[in-house]
Amino acid sequence: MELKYPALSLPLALLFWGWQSEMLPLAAVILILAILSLKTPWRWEMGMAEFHRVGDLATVLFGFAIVYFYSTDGDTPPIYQILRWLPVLSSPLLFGQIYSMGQLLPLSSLFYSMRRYANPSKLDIRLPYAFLCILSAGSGNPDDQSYYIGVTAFVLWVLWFNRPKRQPLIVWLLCFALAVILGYGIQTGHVKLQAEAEEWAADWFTAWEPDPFKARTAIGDRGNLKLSSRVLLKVYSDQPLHHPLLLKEATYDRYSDQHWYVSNALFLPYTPSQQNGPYQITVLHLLAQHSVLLAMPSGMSGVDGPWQNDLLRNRLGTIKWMETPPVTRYRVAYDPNVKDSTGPTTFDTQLPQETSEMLAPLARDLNLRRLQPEQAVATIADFFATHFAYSLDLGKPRNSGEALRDFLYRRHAGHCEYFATATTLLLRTAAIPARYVVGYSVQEFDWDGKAYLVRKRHAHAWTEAYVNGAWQTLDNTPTRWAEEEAKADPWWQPVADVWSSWAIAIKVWRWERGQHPQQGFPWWGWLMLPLGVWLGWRLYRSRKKVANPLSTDPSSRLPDQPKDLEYSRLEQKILASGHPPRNPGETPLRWLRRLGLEIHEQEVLEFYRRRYGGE
Amino acid sequence: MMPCSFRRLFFRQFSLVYRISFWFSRHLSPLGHFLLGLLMVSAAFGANTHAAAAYQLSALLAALFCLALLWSFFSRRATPPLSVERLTPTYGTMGEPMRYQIAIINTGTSTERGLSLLDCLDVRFPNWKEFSASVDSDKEHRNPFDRYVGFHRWQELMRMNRGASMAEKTLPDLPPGLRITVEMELTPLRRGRLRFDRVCIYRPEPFGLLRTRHTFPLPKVRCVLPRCHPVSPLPPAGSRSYQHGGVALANAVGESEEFLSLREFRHGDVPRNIHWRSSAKLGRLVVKEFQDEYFVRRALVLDTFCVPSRTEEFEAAVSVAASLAIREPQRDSLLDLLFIEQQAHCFTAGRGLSETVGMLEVLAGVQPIAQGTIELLTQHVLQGASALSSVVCVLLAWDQPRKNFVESLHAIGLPVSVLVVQEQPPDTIQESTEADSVLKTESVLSYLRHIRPSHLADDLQWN
Repeated sequence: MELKYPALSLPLALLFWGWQSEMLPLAAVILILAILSLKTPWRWEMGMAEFHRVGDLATVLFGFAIVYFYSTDGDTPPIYQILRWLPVLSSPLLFGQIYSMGQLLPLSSLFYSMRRYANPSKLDIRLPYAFLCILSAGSGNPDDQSYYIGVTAFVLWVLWFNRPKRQPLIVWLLCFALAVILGYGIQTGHVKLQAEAEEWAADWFTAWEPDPFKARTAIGDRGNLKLSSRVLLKVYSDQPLHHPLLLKEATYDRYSDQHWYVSNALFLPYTPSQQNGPYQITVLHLLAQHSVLLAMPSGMSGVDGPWQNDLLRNRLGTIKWMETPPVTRYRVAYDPNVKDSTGPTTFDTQLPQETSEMLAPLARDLNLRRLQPEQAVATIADFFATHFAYSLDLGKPRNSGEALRDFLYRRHAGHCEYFATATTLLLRTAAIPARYVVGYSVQEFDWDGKAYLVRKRHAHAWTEAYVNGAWQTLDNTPTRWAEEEAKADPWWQPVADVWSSWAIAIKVWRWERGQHPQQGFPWWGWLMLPLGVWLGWRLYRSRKKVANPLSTDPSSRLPDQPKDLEYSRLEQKILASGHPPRNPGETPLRWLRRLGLEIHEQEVLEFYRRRYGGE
Repeated sequence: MMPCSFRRLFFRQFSLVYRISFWFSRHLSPLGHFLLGLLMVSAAFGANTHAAAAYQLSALLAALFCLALLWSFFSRRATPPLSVERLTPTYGTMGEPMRYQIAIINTGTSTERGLSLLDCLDVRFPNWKEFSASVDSDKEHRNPFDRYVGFHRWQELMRMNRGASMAEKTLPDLPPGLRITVEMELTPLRRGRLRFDRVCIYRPEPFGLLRTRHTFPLPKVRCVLPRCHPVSPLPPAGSRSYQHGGVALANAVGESEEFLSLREFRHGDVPRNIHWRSSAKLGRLVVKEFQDEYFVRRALVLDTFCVPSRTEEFEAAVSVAASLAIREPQRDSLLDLLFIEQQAHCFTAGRGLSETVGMLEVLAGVQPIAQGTIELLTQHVLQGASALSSVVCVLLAWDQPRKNFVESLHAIGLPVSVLVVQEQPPDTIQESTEADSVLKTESVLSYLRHIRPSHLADDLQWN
């Protein structure tokens, strides 16, 4: 059973696509060119090579569209932009067929692998193209039910022309109506199912990452980050950094049961000052999140970025940027010698009872309560430098409540979270206000990119202590922690870095193009224009004028065939009425007599006279 | 290079892939294929119902396919009231269209519409041994993955096992009680047995997307004869020889030819023998078949010692032997076909014993053997040499054992003609300066000719 092309399918589908995708002018152009092919005698002699070139042109257009839509950062995802433009991208295939000398499109023009065959299968592209338009029209408003109505009408039209005619008409119509109702049910179910799935996924992610804004953190959170070398930030510094620069992301002041919390963590609108400082860095934040915590150096005096009233800040100095773009870039001025002198609160010295009891023997050994704050700070630093080692391998997980005790009294090894937590809590036993800070350590310079790379494993934790009327940064983690972690990089890390830098560059480029859309005729358009003119001229010159096989005037149609045409119609009519076909070697007249259709004898004799002459 | 176990793993999946693709190709109409593809694409684009409306298209198509599947499932048990009969000729010829009819009677009370018919041949899946020994004839056009996996080789083996490709036929409307005859045509791809298995009638569901298959088992085996070509005459057969039990045969000695019967034209028949009146009546060529009365005994020796990679050359050798077989009885009264396959075989054709077609039937079934040497054949031929007038050898190489074989025949005074079937010219012929590449050498041979499988028809015409 052959696939029949129902009349008007192509124009209807094109108009539907133009309407649904809001591309009516383009649909009209393609439609006019398609109609013109029926009216004009111009044709191109298309051999296999020419059809292959047409296929190649469509492929190039498709590739160009992929690059273009993925390079611009619009509201619609690129894949749906491409879907929307599919009829335009594949129009060369349609024109290749309808402007050829009545040939069909060889499948080898679509599939490169078939080009090695001498006689590939052929395809009438009109109906597939019409369905492509229908599919492409689906790139429009997902809630618009007019699409379903249009699709139903089109499918009805195509199925009607191709129906087997076994069943009575009423049965066929009932079946189709049932399919339409069922289809509506399926699409409604699909929408509901997706909503359920999204709700479930949201719950799951919430359970997995309970606090996206870091109102609390647990010992071990940073340790998990250290398992990855993915680049999170790129830092461009105006001056070379002689020491690792700590970028503070969040500060915590309340400790309970291995967790750090923020007391009164209310975020309020924040308008940063734009003062300059002796040092300046530019931070490129590469995580695609709806909101981010800005990583800031200590002594920040001014910050500049593309935000407009989108910043929030809590009382501990944590800055949050809401509704961030995919790429976040901001410039920070800072002076490391300027310390935050905001006074401490009671939360900065509080210790839970059980923690205080656990630390008491150590505080007694170190004599912390009797020392001056500066001396206490130095004693604690000396204690960790002398007796502790850095390690990410903490062995078998222990009871979370005992992890800190295990670190201080037994293992004497751990990573930054243990050092920072222990330092903060020991300072508090000495009645020195102290806070727990998480962020990143900037220390790996990328000579190719002329920037510092901050990877996930550069995530760090340290302490801020209120000494001498200002908040001082204390980092008692052994200094070789970064080298220790770098050793765990896989051997393919350099290759992954190159790939990552490319991905970052493309991401930044896409974002910047989206920020500054081009006005007027694009530069590449000026390059393509002469090529288009040249191609058009070549096409015009290679045209051939032929009798139009689809002309409505029968006298101009297939000049050698009218003699056979009437007989052919008669034969088709007889076959369509269910009679068996002519046997090989059987003349038309004998066939008619065998079937008992002598009524048509005169028509056949007339056909004989026309064809063979004489009486 | 991936290990062989991967290839075996792929091989095991071939039959599954074949079954799935066969199911889809037979149960889906062209429109069904097309809309199923569209359903998958629209489902991919419509997976996210917030992004695009394409999910509405996929929902409608899914509903259509659901209903079509249900209809097909429930209509499977209702076999159409048809009576089917296949009318086939006894023989076909490899590479030539074989026409036959299928008669269908509607025994029901209502008109059957929209049916299509497929005649199915029995086919078995190739085993690993056959697959690993097969050679891809189009290897240079394959990419490395295809060459390694070898699915094309598997498909080729399937085609050859089946023996012919069958096309589906759309049936006209069948009113109750009407008997129609459908003209079928197939082109045998190989010689040997063609096993017709069943006739499948496909009935579409209302949308025309899927079709239900109804099977009518009609097993029948037909023989496909090797392809024959016109052959130039070989040198005279030599003197007549005494034939055991030849009294009855001697009565038939004479020079005249006797009309025997009419039969369908086979490639290689002399156009002079075409019976034009019968051809015009039947719409296909018919030739007169004669039985000669001249009588000497000639041996036609076929070399069957062939490695699997030379299947094409072996097929050409069988074709040469068949061409000689249908030509020789017109001149000689008896022709012995000798070859080795598992054991030594000798088949004699000629007046009073068997018809040429019997010899072609034997040649239709002959298979190459990978083990064994030409010495086996030598012994077999020499045993009956005393009754022979001459020997025609169809050899697959011109190496020393075969030269020895020919020499031993010549040593007992038999005129020997040798046709060497291989693509590359044999050494002796390469050294020849004669333009027609015919060589009379060392007084051992009376006739030596190189036949190229790729130019079989041309090379068999040496006059």
